[in-house]
Amino acid sequence: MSYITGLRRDLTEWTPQFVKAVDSEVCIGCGRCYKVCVRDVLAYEEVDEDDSARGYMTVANAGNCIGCQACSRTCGKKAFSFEAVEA
Amino acid sequence: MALITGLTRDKKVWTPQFVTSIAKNVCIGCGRCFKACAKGILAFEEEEVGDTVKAYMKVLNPGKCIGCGACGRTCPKSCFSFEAVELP
Repeated sequence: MSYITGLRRDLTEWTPQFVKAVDSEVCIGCGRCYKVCVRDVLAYEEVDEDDSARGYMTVANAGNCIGCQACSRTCGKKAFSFEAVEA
Repeated sequence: MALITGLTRDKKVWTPQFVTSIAKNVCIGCGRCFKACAKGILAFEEEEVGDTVKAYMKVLNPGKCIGCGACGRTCPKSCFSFEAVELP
């Protein structure tokens, strides 16, 4: 079983960690991950809750993810989970 | 002439754009790129200029760059330049 890998500039190998999910219970919808993602993988959603609305991020285009994890780096709540993917 | 490429989760080919440099005279040293980079490529530097200090980012570990472009995406001054890299 081998995983999708990539090459760094120095030609060493790395294993992309693709975004699996954003925990909507933990996510506060701040949008930092949305701003940093170059691949349009994430989207913002809102649900009505009594007097207010709750915002959170969803994985809208999972297939477009390159596994760089920049989204998680910017996440103040550590709401992301990742996985390597079989080649 | 083949370039380094990668695969997205759904196995489409993408071409990494590796960081080549940060325009020192444009960079304000805000550190957004440093926060976004998951691979430890960038570093913060300071330099005394007369009575004040000029802060800027530099490319510390170019070889470890994966070419995701997240740094450039966060940069409010568009300081970054990138390039695709040929396979040997």
